[in-house]
Amino acid sequence: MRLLVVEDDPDLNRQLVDALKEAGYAVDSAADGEEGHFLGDTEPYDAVILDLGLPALDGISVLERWRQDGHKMPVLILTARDRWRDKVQGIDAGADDYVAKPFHMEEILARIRALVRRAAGHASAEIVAGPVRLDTKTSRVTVEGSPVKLTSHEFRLLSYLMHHQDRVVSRTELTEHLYDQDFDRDSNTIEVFVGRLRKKIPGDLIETVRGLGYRLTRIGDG
Amino acid sequence: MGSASLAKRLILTAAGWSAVALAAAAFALVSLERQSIERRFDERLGIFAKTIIGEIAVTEPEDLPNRAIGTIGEPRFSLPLHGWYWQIATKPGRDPVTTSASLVGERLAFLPSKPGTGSNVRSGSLTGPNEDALRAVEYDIVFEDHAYIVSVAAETSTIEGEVAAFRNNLLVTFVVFAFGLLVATFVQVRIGLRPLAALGEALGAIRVGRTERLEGVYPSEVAPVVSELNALLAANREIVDRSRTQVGNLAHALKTPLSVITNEARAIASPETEKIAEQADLMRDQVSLYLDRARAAAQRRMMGALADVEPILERLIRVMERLSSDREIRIALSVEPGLKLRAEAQDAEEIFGNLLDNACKWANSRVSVSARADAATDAEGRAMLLVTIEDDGPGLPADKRQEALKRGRRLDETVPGTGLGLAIVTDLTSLYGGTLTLSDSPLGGLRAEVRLPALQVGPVRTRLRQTPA
Repeated sequence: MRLLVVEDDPDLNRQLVDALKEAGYAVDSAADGEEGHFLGDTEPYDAVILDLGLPALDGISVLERWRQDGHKMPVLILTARDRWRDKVQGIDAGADDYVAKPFHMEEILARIRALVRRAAGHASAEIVAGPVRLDTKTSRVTVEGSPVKLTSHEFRLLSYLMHHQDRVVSRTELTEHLYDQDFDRDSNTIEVFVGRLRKKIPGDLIETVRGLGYRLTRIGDG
Repeated sequence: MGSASLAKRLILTAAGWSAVALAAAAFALVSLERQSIERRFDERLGIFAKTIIGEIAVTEPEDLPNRAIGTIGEPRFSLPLHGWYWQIATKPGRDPVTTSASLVGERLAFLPSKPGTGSNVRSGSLTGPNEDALRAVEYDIVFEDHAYIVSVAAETSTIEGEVAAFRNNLLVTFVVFAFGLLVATFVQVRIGLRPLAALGEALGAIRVGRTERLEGVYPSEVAPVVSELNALLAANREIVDRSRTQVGNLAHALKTPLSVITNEARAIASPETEKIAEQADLMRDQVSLYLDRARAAAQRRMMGALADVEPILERLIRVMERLSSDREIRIALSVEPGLKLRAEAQDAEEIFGNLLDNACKWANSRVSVSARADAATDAEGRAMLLVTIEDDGPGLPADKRQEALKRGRRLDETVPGTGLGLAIVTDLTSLYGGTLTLSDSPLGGLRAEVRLPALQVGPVRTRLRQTPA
């Protein structure tokens, strides 16, 4: 899962990026509205954390432009403005969630989890594919009830495939959603991680669709 | 006079001045009248003296002492020591030649001569043989080689009587006149000070928030004060607005650093960082409390501010549905169309938004929002409307409810961040003269009822909304 943080305060920006990376996300960050808008416009993010009081271009305008251009990624507004009028304005501009500063990092993490999950169409915090269960709250994976140890890259890959199960996901899409923009992208690494993942969970769960990419199917799920 | 009233000052000054002026006038009038009475008296005495001089003219000097001049028409000249006297004396020796019978051998004193006047007539006061006060006229006359002083004197009680009578009349006239002046002054002061009373009332209206500036036409003496006061009020408002804006800016500016501190402290688990995080949370609560207060106080309470209830509630429900979309909460809205609040829209949003937020936070699955006109009016007879927001959550015990409501009222004892966020709701509702009551909801949870001043009434329309699953 790849996220964008648009926040002009350097400390807060760093904290958000660190906490989100620690939670297993690939994270890009921008310090002003124009950069933020550009990244959101050009990169496929699974969710965005957007400050409203931004230099160059304010957050509401950034959000409105994204929505006008048809970008539908979930956006969480993170702002000091906590009047209901501001909330109404933010939601009407197309925000999916609204958190007032000061906040607790756990709350941001929980809300981002919920946004990503909801955007992929999952109602509950636990995503199930056959014998594999992914608890988005704790980032734990179990197969037939017993926990599986995954590296962070393996976890990101599995998490993305499980969020978008029953759909063919291309290698490019995976690369775009699993690594932040500074990462040296090589689609061959995806094949390596898929191979490793197949050894830790039932191998036939991840299906290779020749020439297109991968599909996680819910075999044995009734 | 210190802090005595302006009216009292003006009246006392006018009364004091009038008293002095009237007294001076009375004194002058009485002395003028006395002079005129004395002149007339002297004239009368002069007639007697001329009669006597006529007698002297027709009498040989040696026969003069025995000449019976008599009463010359005034019987009192024969009454012994009765105050009416005449006397003929030789000029150089001042020896009486002959006198009226009334002198019975006594003699009249002479008036002090006024050298250099060249007049042969003198008049003045004398003390008579009977120790009585006399008015006297003296004539120096010369017939051939005989020079005489002819004196005619009469007691002054008639003069004093006439003067006293005049004085009494004058006193009565002047008392009436003074009373009239006083009444006139009083009326004048009242009329003159009326603009000041109007100014006081207008300032009172500003203090209670009915108006923002002094309106109306004031007399040219008061008008500069009025325009200065208006300028002062505007400057004051501007200062207050600026301070509130700065409080707001400060509060906003603190939020990001507070977030950073909290996150930094929570990233490392130790007693020290725990303490820092705890204190940062306290600061956060204080910041939002005083930010809310600054906002509530910043309300202009503009005359005639109106807010449509239905769109506000719809907007808020839309926001809440989005914000709580991972929990399936059904928010039912039932609102009489056309309801209008006498309040600023953003205050109404704050009041209903916080209550709705609470309801959604505690609800299991259902929240109900309804707005209708209230049959009862408030103490001032204004129409009221009733907005009810209730949920099917765990509710709040009666004793906790009182506590939750009380917090908003007692500024300094307020403990913020206790989860209900009712401080700002109670602050704002009471600002508009409304009330907030908490009770049990038939849905099972808490029911919050807000009564606020309204404009209009209409028939009921009900709609149900379903959150997207």
